[in-house]
Amino acid sequence: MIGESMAQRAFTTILEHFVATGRAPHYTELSDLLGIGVQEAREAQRAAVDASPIAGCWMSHDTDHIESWAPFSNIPTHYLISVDGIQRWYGQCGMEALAVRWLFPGQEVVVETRCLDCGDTIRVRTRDDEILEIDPESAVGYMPSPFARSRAGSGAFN
Amino acid sequence: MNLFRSEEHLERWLLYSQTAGDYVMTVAEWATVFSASIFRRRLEPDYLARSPTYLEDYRRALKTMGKTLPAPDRFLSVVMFTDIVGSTKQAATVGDAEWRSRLERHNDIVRTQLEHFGGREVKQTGDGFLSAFDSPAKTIACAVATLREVSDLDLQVRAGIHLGECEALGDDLGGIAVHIGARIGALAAPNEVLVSGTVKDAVTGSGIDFTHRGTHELKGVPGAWELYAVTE
Repeated sequence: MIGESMAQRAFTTILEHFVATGRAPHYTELSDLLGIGVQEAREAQRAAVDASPIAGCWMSHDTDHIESWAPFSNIPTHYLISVDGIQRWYGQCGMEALAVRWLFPGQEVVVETRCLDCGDTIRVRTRDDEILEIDPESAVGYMPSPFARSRAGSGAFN
Repeated sequence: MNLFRSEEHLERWLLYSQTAGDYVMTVAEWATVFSASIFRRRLEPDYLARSPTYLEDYRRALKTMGKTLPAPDRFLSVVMFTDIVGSTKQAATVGDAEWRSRLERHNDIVRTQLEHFGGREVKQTGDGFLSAFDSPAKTIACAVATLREVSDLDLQVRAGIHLGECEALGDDLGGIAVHIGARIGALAAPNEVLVSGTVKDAVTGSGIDFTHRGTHELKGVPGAWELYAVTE
């Protein structure tokens, strides 16, 4: 069984890999990063998923491939994240995209997306605690509730 | 979890069907809510252990916006964690093909016993299972039978059982009772069924015998916990 400290190490290492590269490590890479065997790394990422709060991390169905690791998505979404002008990251959802800034202290983080109704752009520019720009200012976020609805069939990730 | 150019755009969205408790806020308000510790401190080295506290901060942030986290569906349940002891080492010893074969047979045994004793498989946790039951006595019987059956595969399994209120998270279970069950499972010795005092008290008169395994602090869980091993 994977202990809590290994689950924590896996959780942090995967997140740091996202920050550095824009994607999740495969568990074979995680194995190298943690200095553990491949099988143990596979279990460690599973343990990290189970321990992650607000169901923020998950695998692609029936695989050991990371699909989402809040606040990031490992598959392209329409929440494009740029840091200091470089677009390399994707937000898990519209709200989590607003939390990406906490992983890039002191840097300008821009979320660019499209309105699901009209397709026009929405842009949010931040740096740490500062909201530098919201365009348009009328932009809103919609979160279905309860959160169980936020996955399959709810339209939450459309 | 999506953004729209305005509330009017949201209301025109094909998939929009507002239900009580849905949250619609301006992006500026969401940016404030998503400044709570649970989002801000993700790279802290002890983030997972602290996350229950950080979740409260999230609740407070929502409350300042006049919102509350929806009350989860709570119900009393027995939770059982079973886990193969030393799976990584065993996998390395016997090789991938043999390990896969043993793992499949182990999974079959667990599922057969769950069906027999009326348990529900909630999910697999690495090489183990989280299961839920209505009856603590049947849970213990299931754990004992499972451990006995898998010993034929030259595997050592341990089990942790707790009874408490759980939260429904879709098909998954959440809540402190699940955390307690996991902690108890992690403390069980190989081939041991370890239960909380709550479970022991609940099966008084059932004829099940226990050995006291001491008082323990369970990480992230308040209080001291009396744990008992099931004696066959």
